[in-house]
This record gives sequence, structure tokens and C-alpha cells, in this order.
Amino acid sequence: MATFKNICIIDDDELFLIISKSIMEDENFAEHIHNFDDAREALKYLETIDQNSYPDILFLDINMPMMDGWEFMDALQRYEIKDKMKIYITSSSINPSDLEKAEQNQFISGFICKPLDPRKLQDIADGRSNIRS
Amino acid sequence: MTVNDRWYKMLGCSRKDFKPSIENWHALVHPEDMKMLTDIMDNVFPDPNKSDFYVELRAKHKKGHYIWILDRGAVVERNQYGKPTRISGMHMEISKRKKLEIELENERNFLNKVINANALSLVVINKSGNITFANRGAEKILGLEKSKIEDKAYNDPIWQHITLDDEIFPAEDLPFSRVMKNKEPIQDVQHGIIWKDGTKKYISITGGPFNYSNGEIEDVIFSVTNITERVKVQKQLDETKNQMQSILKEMDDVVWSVTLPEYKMIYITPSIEKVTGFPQAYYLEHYVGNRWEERVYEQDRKKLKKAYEDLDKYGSYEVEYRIRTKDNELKWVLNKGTIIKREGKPFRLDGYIADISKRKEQELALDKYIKIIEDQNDRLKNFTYIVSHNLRSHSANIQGLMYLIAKKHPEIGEIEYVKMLSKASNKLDDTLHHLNNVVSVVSSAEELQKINLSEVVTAFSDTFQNLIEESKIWFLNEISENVYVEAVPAFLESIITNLLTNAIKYRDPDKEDSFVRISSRNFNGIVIIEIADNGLGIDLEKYGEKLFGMYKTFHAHKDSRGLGLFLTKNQIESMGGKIEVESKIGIGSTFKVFLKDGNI
Repeated sequence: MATFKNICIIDDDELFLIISKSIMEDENFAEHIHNFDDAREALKYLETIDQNSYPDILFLDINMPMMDGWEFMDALQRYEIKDKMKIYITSSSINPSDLEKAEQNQFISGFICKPLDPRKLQDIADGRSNIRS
Repeated sequence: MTVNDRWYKMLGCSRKDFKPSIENWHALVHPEDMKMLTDIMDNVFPDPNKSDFYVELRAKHKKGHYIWILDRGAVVERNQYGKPTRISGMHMEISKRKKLEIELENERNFLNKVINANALSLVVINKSGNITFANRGAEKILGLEKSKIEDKAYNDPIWQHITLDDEIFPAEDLPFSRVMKNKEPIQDVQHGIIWKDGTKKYISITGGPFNYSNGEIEDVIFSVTNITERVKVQKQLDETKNQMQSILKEMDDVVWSVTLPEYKMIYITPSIEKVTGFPQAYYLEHYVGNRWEERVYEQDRKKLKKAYEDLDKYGSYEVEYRIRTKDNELKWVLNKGTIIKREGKPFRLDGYIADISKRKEQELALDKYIKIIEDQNDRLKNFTYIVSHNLRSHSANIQGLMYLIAKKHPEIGEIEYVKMLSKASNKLDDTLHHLNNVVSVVSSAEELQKINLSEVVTAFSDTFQNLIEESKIWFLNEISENVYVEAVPAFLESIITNLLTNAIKYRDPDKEDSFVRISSRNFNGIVIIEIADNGLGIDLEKYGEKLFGMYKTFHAHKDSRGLGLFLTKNQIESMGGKIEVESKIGIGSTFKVFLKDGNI
């Protein structure tokens, strides 16, 4: 039995998507893992699925072309579904203003420093990676 | 005693009122004058060689008042023993004469009083130049007793004559010489005299010819006034004024004064010419308000307008603007003005102008440089974030891949080169992580907090208990519980951890009792934290300057990274502190961290 049912990863870095998916599968982290290399695609996907299929956890990169993480968060505003899933920012950014933004956004559960590894996934499963407790 | 009718008339009585007898006569004489009569009776009458007597006495008139009587007589007959048997004489009324005499006496006394009044100093000099009279008042000014003055010449060397500026006073200009030469009075001739004992007096002399004989001057009279205090005050005033004027002359800045409400310039220092190129007179003669304002640079007129609004509101202004000089050159000036009030009403506007072109140029240049530097700094910061972000995302991927290889293809993971690749990938990530920390220290402005140092050190020894035990090192914590420092919590923790782990890491494996000791002391609002060890030591002569630099490693040690001390130094300095090091190869190192005392 997997830890979570649905997981969504949004990142323009294809390698990161492949590695993360691979590690998650290895750790049996989720039943379904949906990868998106374009935030707009992810948005479309979320529009189409029904409530029961919403991902339990959504990993969101910040620095992306076309639509970046913050724009995605703003776009999500319209759908009233943000609070139905846990959103984690995954980034290698150390820009303090990004960290601050993440802390101020009440729909963001945590800030995960790349790369993902089994220990970090375990922390998320245990709720230890949350900004807010 | 017999008297005639005229005698009765003189005293206003009749034969009925007065019975002629010596006793009755004596009863009429004024009691104060009786002594004169008894003197005559005691001295003249008994002496056979004397016979005449003469007295002036007062006798009581019938109406009650006293009249002055001249009593004159002689003993005309004596018996064989020489005793007077008959005395003959006359009484004559002299009241009128007596009254005149008394008035004259009073007047003489009054004049004497006037002349000898201390407030007035009078000197009379005869035509030969000798002082023939000096009153009491003159004593004080001339410094001699009246009698001593009165045998001196007017130019006696006992008084040294000087001008008000303490130069020698020419003898021919002394008041007496001038009066004798011009035969005219003089008024307020001022000079000074120095007494024998050195006392200096300044005097003003007024006077002129006094007595003439055959048309020639006999005597000259002078009134002398002591003006010493006045002259001294004036001299001080002059000196101050001179000083002020030479200061104003020397300085480049301009001081000015304008009357209100006429707005007439009454004063401006000559230095205005250095600023505007127009001479002082240009502003003082026919000054009209716009003579200054018309030279103000058009673009800065608004500033001046705002300054005048301030003047109306607050009674003063201070403004910096540009003016056009006479040569149409632009200059920056600082102009200040303050309204001076008299009895609550503005009556003058005083101000100050300074040429600040140089300062302004520097300011503007500096502003430009600061702007450039700020822009560059911002770009650099952004660049650093982007670079570190991109690099880290790649290194994170490599790490992820290495993890997956080891997990899914353990046989490949065993290959020596793959192991090395894995190590290299971890190191790359570590380095980037440190780099990120450095960047965030440099660019953050965290709030300082009061932190208990002992708690931080205890937290370290708890966390690194394993390391300490494995290293077989004596960890000596000598921080007392009441030491507080002003610091950013995360920074302080990082500093302590870095310095202590360094000390443990670079212990000397050849020594039996390795130790690291952390202690502190307070000094002038500063806490000095000392971390001392007996480890390998650092060759400061070789590395001194690079010790705290980026990417320097000093020990051939497997974990050496070098970024640690750079980060530590940056963290300390960002909190307003500093770090120092003393070290000797083979002996050990002591790091001193200076931070603000949190107890103050």
C-alpha cells in the first residue's frame, strides 16, 4: 500500500521529474505520480479531474519558463482547490525573497530543498517538512 | 549808667521800660555774646595799662529780636588803686553790615565746598606753567596730595603723558600749551597719564583762560574728567570689532544683514565678491531685493520660493541652490537666514551664504557612484542567486542519479570511479550549499537578539557528543551562565559550531592530551569569546591574509573545505563584531570573537 494515492510534480527540469518519480516508486510513495514539465499543463489537468482524484501532494518548482511557481499559485486561486491538497515548493533557490514568499502563502505547506531523497519523502509523510504545524 | 534818647530808640524802648544799670544792660545782651563782655571786665578794666575796648554783640530789641551793636568805649577815670571809676562809650547799631558779612561768609563756604567736591577735579595753572591750585578731586586723578600738586609744573615728569593708544603725547599738544598758544578755551582734550607707580589714567580736559592782566593771560583753569573706565571699555570694544572684521575679511563665507520691512541691505561681508563676482558695494548701494534673486539659477527658483515660505512660517530658512556669477558661471551656494525681532516685531533679517560648489560636486558624484554600486550589487546578487540555483539543480540531479544507480544497480555502484563520482557529487553539493549560506549572510540584514552564550555552547556539546568522544579530545566549556551576546541566533550557532569543529578536526594526532577550551570575558561593552586548542596550528606567516578568504584550505586534511572561516568572518562582521587569530605550528590556535555584550 502506497503512502499517498495521487502525487503531482511540476518542474521544467525533465531529469528532476524522472529521478523524483523513480525514487518515489522505489519508496512506494504514491499510487499515481503525475509529472508536468509545464505548469499550464498541470493547471489544465487539475481543471479536468474530479474532486476525488485531486493529488494529495503537489510538488511545485518556482523557476520555470512560461508560467512560474508563483503564477501557478495565483492561477490556482480561481479553482478553490488549493486547500484540498498539500503544496510543497521544491527548489534549489536560496533567494530569501522566495523563502519569505513561501512562508507568507498560507496554501504552501513547506519548502523542500532539491534533490528529493527517501529521507525527505519520509519527513513529508510524517508531516515534519511543514512550515506551519 | 546813663544813656541818651537815641540809645532808647535803637532798642525800641523808653525810659520807663529800662532803668539804666550794668545789670539791666547785661540782661539784654545775647547769652552767647556775654562772654566777650565778661572778658573785657576781667582783662581790660583791672589792667591800668589798658583802657579801650571794642566788641560786636547782639542785644535784645523791645520787639523781641536781636540787633547787632558795636560796643566801643574806654575807662576814663580810675581811683588811686587803679580801679575804674568811670567808663565812657557808645553803642551803635550794625545789624545791616553784620548781615552782609554773614552772607558773604556763607557764600565763601559754599564755593569752597563746590571747589573741593570730590566729583569735580579742578586745576589752575599760572602763565609760567606752574600749578597754583588743585582741588581735592584732582588728587584722585593726578595721584598726588593737593599740596604736592601745587608745587609742580603742568608738564612735570612725575606724570608721563600718553595718547589714548598709549603712545607718547606731544608736549606742544597738551591742553595748557594749546590754551597759551591759541588764547582760546579747549574742550574735551583726551589723553592719558601714567603715575610714578605705573597706574594709568585716561582723562578728558576742558577749560581755558581764567585771569587776565593787561590783556595777557595770567591763569588758566582746567576741569579734568576721569575717563579711564570708558576708554578701557572702548578699547576692548575696538579690539573685538577689529577681530571680528579681520575674521570676516579672511573667511570665504558671507554674512549679511537686511532691514525689515524695507528690505534694505545694511551689511554684507566683502567676501561676497569671491562668491558672485560682484563687489560688496553692488549690494550695499541702492540695494534692491532682486539684485540677489535675479542671479538665482532659473531651475532652482522653486527652492528659494520654498525657503521664503519657511521664513514666513518658522522665522528662518536654510536652502541650497545654484546662482549665476558675474561671469555667468553656475555655483552652488548654501543660504541661511533668520529673522531678528525687536519688541516682538521683525526688524532685521540676518543671514549667511557659503560657496558649496565643491562639496556639491562631490556629493553628486558620490550619489552617482553609490547608485552604480547599488545597481551592480543588485545585479551581482541576482546573478549569484541564479547561478547558485542553476548549479544546485544540476548537482541535485547528479546526486539523485547517483542514489538511483547505487540502489538499482549496486554492482555499478561498487565500481571505484563511480564511488569517486558519488563523492565528487556530494562535495559539489556541499560547496554549493556553503556558497548559498555565504550569499545569504552578505545579503541579509537580520535583527540582533540577546542570546545566552552558555546555552549555545551546551547545545553544541550535546549535538556533537559523538564527535567529541570519538576524537578523544578534552572539551573544556568555561562559559559562565550569565554571559549574553547581541547576535543573530542562526549565525552565532554557526560560528560556534564552525570554530569548535575546526578545533576538534585539526587536533594534533601526535599529542596525547588534545583539548579545546572555550571561554569568555567582558570588556567595555564587548564580549570576547576565546576558542583555544593545542592542535596542529596554522602557519600565519604563510596564510595570514588568506585565512578568512574564500576557498582556502590550510591543512592537508580530508575534510578541509575552507569556506567555513570565510562564512564565520562574514557572519561576525555582519553583526558588527570582529574575529582575530593567534596560532603557531605545532603549538595550537586561539580564535577570538568580539561581539556586543547582550547585558548592556
